[in-house]
Amino acid sequence: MLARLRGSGFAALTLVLFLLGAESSARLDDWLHQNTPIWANPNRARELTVHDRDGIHGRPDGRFKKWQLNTYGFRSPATMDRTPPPGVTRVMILGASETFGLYESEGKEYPGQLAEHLRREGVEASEVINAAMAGMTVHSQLPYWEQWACRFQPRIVLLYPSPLFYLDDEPPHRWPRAAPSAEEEAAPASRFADRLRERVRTLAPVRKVRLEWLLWSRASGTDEDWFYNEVPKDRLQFFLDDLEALVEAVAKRGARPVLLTHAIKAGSPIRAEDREDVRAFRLFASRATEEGIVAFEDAANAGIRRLAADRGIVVIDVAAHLSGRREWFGDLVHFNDAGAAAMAHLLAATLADPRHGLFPQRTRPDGAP
Amino acid sequence: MLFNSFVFLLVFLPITYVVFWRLPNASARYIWLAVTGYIFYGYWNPYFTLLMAFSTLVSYSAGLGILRWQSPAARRCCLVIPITVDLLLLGFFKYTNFLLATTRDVVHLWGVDLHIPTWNIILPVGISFYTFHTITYIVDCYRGTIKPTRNLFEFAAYVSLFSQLVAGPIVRYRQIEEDLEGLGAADRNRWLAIGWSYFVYGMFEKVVVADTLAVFVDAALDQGRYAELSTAGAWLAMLGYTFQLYFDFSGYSNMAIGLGYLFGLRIPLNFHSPYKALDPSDFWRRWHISLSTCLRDYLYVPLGGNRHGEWNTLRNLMLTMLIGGLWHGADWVFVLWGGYHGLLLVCYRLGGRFWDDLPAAVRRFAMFLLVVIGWVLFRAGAAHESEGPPGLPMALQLWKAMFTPTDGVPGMDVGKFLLILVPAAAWAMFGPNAQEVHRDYRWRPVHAIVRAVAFGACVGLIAGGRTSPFLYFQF
Repeated sequence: MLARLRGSGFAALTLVLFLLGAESSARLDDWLHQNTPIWANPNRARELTVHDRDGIHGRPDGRFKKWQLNTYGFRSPATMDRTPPPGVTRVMILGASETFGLYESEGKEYPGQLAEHLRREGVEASEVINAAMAGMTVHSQLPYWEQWACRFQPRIVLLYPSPLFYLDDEPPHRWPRAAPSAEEEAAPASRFADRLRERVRTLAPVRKVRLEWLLWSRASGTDEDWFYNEVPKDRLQFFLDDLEALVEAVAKRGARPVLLTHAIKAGSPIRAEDREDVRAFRLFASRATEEGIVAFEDAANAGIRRLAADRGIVVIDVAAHLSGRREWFGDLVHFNDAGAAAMAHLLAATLADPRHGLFPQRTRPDGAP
Repeated sequence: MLFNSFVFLLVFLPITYVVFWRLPNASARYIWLAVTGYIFYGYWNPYFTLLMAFSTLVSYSAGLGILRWQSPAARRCCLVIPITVDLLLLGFFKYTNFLLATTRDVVHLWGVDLHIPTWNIILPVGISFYTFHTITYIVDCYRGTIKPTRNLFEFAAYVSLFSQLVAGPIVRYRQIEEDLEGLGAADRNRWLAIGWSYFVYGMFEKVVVADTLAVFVDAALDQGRYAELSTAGAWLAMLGYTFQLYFDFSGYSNMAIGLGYLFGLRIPLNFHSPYKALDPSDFWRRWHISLSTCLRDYLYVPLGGNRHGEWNTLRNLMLTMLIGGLWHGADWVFVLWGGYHGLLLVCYRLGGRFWDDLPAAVRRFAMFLLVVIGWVLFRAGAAHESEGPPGLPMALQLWKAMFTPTDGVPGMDVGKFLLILVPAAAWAMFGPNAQEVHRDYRWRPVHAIVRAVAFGACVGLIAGGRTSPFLYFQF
């Protein structure tokens, strides 16, 4: 009996030491490679955003995992002044996580590459600010622009809106969302457990089961009307109204808005190999079918083109060039390194076109004016 | 499938182990080891298991022929055919594009612009290793060193043994013949503790040390960044790579040895503190021992070894090392690396008595430096998924930065890098190696405690998803 107890105790001790080793290595690893303090309990919302009298914006010098913000809370450039340097055209990009960056390697998200691509197109004196914030809808970009982003005096503002937020179960609301509660702040979190949770969640069978369960639970108790059997006109109009208001707000501050249509991995009709990605997106738009998601995307992009034509605004048809190119996306909406490079190349080539008159002194790649 | 992955640790290994020890006899265990070896290999690409099966069948049949036929001509056929088949397989998959590119370059030198397209040939993982297994088997059968086995599954289990299948050690059949024959009566508990200990030791070397060093080294060297390094940055990067390569490969080998023990098989040692070597000969007695002994026994000795005068000895040394370099990679940079070590061996042979008179500390330091200089070529030849092998220009640039005062960037967070590099270097150069740690091994409770913490540390990093394949996979 005593021997058995001793054995169990020893096994328990071994397990505890194993877990201690795992937790220690996870924390040391985060510190070594991401500068996360060893004793911290990182939380994405807290580390990357701040709510203050200027509204909601990026946390100055914020850092979470691989994402690092600059002194003004923007994703890039690494260093910048509050006002544009003389003779430099400041370009700002507003958007959500597709612009903020998700799958790209460090520095490879498309705004980070845009300045270099512009230089290749002969635009020497430009600076690109990635002012995107993950999860930010067009509805929230308006106060964000008015209260914070406009202070940095960009001359050109690229708007890369995410229409699919407007298919969420509830329509987009204004930020700020609630800041982390005191309990959340104090609660110790195991980094090892976080890592395991993340690994388990990314396993294909687990992802599938979780997705189907969530979709079922959201839809249970609803009737047929709850589902969008066609493009919801109210949500589409909501999106276009918000976008128009944002365009006006940008123009009112003396900046030139440039509209971008939105690209996704899937084309229309949906290919068999894309269906899983589109279905996975129903986590964020469970009222829509897969076909409905793609149809809403197409309708939103058509609306963006119409808005640009009506207002005489430059529009870059990202959807026409990048949508359907599976090799450029990490999931339905987010670029990988190659996709970000393709996006940067497309934007630079269009922005640098002298017909748009966006850059006052443009030199050809050979140095001639 | 990587040893340092959850699918291996939580699914493949437990199932393979439990079923193996429940099987009643050696035959069943041979079949199980062969099947699991093919599953392990097929996890990467199921179609290439056919290649391995083909190579296995050819060598097995040739072994039976050696048993059956006594005439020298027939026996020679049984030797030549499987070796030719294996070398053709290796040549096609590994060296076709190398030959095409070399032909194109040579022809271009003569002013002829010949368009020779590159073929899209996938290099099967581990082909350099399992073809060596079958070649050494048939040569040993021919020489009479071993008796060919009649049991197809015993031979298939040997060739496809998952523990050393894709990155060595290169295990000769004679080295585990006794254990294979006794597999039916093997005692599960006999080597359980030492096997697990070796496995965790190796995993710690690979996951905690090598993979952590790799993040800093790759940040400094990849995607053309090596061109911006300062002198200090170049030295730091190459020192980092020196220890990364050692702990990566040594770690894998120790994991393979541990896995062998878990299944009643004693896999031979592959590293013996190579950075403690005092001279070039000593280095090759300590680094990738299974390869260097194979090259010695199956290439250097048949070429004549040191039996036909000094000049022929030097020639044989150089040829062996050049081919050894080419084995590592289908690129002239690897041939240069092999030639560099061949030159070191030749110089040592000619001037060894002067070298040996130096104090041991000086010899060890100088030898280590010479090895680091050689690793520059090795790293320049190593391909990465995001870019092709940079080759000689990278090596020349790094040497220039290392040996002439060069302004530039350090390429990494030096403070944090040194926190890993210094202990790793101290361990490799002054600490005990796996064999020394496990000499006269007897399980004690403190071992379980240490292994639990070490294994936990490994799992914590594996859970973060930042696992890299073993560097020697590409060979």
